[in-house]
Amino acid sequence: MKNPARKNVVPQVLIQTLKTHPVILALIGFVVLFSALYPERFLTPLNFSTILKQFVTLTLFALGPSIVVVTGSLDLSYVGIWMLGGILVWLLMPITGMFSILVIPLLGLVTGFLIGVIQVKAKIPSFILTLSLLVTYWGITATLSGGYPRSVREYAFITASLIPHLPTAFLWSIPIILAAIFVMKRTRIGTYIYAIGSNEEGAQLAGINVDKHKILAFTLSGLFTGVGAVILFPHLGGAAPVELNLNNVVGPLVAIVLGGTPLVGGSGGPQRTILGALTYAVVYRGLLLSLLHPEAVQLLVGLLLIVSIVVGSRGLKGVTIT
Amino acid sequence: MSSSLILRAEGIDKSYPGVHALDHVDFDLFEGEIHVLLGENGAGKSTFMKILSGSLPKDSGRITLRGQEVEILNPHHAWELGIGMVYQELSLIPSTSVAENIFLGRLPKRKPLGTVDWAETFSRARNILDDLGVDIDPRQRVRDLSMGERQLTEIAKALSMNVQILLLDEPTSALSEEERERLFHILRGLQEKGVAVIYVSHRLAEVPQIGQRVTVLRDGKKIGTLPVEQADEATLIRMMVGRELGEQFPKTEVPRGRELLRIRGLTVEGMLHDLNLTLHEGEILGIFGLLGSGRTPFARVLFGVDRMDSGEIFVDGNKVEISSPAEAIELGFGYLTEDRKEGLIPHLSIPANITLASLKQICQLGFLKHSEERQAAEKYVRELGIHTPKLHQRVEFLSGGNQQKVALAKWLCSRSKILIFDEPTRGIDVGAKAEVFRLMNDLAGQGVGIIMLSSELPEVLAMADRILVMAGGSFTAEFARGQGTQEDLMRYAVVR
Ligand SMILES: Nc1ncnc2c1ncn2[C@@H]1O[C@H](COP(=O)(O)OP(=O)(O)OP(=O)(O)O)[C@@H](O)[C@H]1O
Ligand SMILES: [Mg+2]
Repeated sequence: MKNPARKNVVPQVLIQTLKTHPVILALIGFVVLFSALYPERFLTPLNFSTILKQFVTLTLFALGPSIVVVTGSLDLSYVGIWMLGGILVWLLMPITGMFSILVIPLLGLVTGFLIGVIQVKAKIPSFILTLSLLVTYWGITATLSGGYPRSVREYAFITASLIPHLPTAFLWSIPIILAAIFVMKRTRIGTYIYAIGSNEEGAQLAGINVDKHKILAFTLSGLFTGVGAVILFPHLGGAAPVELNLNNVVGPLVAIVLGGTPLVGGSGGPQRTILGALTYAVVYRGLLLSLLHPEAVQLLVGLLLIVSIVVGSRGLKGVTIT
Repeated sequence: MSSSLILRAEGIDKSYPGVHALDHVDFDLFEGEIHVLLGENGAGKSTFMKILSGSLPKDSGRITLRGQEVEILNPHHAWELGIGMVYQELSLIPSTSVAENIFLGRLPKRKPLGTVDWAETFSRARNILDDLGVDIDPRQRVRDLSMGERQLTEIAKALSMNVQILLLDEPTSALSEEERERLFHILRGLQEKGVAVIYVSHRLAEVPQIGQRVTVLRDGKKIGTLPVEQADEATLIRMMVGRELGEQFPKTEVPRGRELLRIRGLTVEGMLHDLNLTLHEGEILGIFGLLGSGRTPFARVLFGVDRMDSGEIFVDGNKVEISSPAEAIELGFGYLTEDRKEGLIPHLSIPANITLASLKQICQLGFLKHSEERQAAEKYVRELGIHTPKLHQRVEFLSGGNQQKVALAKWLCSRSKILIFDEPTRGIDVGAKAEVFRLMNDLAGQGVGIIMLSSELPEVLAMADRILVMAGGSFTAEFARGQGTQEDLMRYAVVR
């Protein structure tokens, strides 16, 4: 064990962190770039509040699935849980009153568990499975709602403004984020999930019940999505939507990969996803402020996903992403 | 040596975060020379070889090939320059065939469309394997090969490249005596054609057999280069370790206790035939067998990874069914796999790997206790001399031998009662080997029963209380401690 000279320690740690978290550099770079390009419009409280709002949306959708990505699978069901959950709340409102909102986390939990069981037992690729489920949930939502967005105003208080310019949904998202990080970094289940994603056979040989923990990962994903959707429901307008917005599906995926959770699994997780979500939100906002057509912005976002997948899968200069 | 200099490396320097892996290393290599490179685990041997083979960039230094300075860009470029390498952590693709792996990137083409000439591919692979004297079907998938067979495939791949400089990083770590001999024979043949070889190994006995000169690295620095005539084992160890080493096989007699394990008629159709054994508290039971003898399949069945067709297993006198590793661990088993890649979690840290099989005891209500994990890990890092810049290093960044030590530490930490060690000393240095044997003794002293599967005759003879010889999926002989000689064991290991 060698100790580098003392005065070098701090810069060393800094350089190391930046090397393993290249997204931080990207984030700083984009903030500087946009601040320089349009100082009047980018550096405003209103703009930051808008960025935070999108950060919340991305994070609450991406948090759970990023646990599944650590195992090397994919979970695309999040938007479906939010949509179907919303319409169930509208349906239940006259019967169960204010308790109706609890149907969303319940739906998330059950959905995640079912996906896990089907995936483990039938060995269907999780991508196809969860994509089909997303489309199915969308179909059920459209049917139940009769094709109209159904608004439920009762829960607006959840996201009512407390501090000027600071979205209340952001405050709510903090404990959820911390809980996700805690599960992955401070519990046995989290360690097992990383182990399975990194080396499934090795995990099994260490006595880990691989199937059980894969199911658990999907269940956790569904649960976090469901809890997040309780905030997202009022945050995104308090209406049960009937249109599937592709942006809501792609954005969280970009956030996960951009944050540095490789799709092959084994490393990364929620603590990285929030970095990815913040960067994505900044880029998106910055591009919208530009004179580009919204379509052009979509194109650039697509490119961003490709670039982050390439960088994420190859690592930067031999540094694998933690 | 009158032949000419083929490769010279000057001031090769390479750092990883927190590790100065190579510290201005000078090295030269003559035509037709076999140059042995030695050093403890983590000394920088693989790093040096990877720089020469273009798979790692150097930080600074000069490499000259036949008097001309070169910048080796990547493995393919190295091959064009006449350099080929056998990697320590084998670089084969498990899902493809042996022949495809041998010719990867250089598959024979058929005119005019440039399609792959499969007939040619397989027949050329067959020839190379025949030259090596190994009986592997070129069409077989690498996934289905044993460790030793994979290593032979990797060697065949390097030999097929027709290079002038061959880099071999622990090529014999999974080979039997016989296969090793055959490899040496081939190397001597290449040597006559002027091919130069850099040869890394932890088997000091091989040095005079195969090498002409030896270079020793310690902590990334070159300690010296000697002709083999001056390089007796004691000198080499002193150069590698920096001090004298004590007893190599510190065996202590432990009184045999209760019966821990009894196996009756264990059979897997076409693979394992009617295996019977008993293991007692405090006993080290050696199972000696060559490649393909069935050692590893036997261990996998016992640990619940694979199923048996018939037979009975008794633990502490009770009949048990073992249908998963989790159940085996519950019953007190631990299993160090032959291929350490199988047993390690590359993305997790040293402490997480060491405690992985014991988390149920270390956790409280499912919450991790980092301080206890750290304490456990620190203990084994110290005892086994795991060479790492920081405790929380991810194991994928450790040198091969240090990974082996982490894999071993996992089972020491789990307090298993019955330990199955498949080639426990594979790829670890002399100092650490003695330490592993000392730990095995300590464990035996605490009443643990150890099944030591090994193809290292001297180790089995020195450490085991009883030795079963395995061949063709059956036990062919049993020797009490001190009864069999190397020749006896060998004789029963090759009969069918
Ligand atoms: N990718 C990496 N990242 C960080 N450190 C590394 C990496 N690869 C190797 N090291 C470190 O560099 C040092 C030299 O490693 P190297 O693999 O060359 O050792 P070695 O002599 O081949 O040992 P062994 O006998 O165990 O194979 C070790 O301390 C190791 O921990
Ligand atoms: Mg090495």
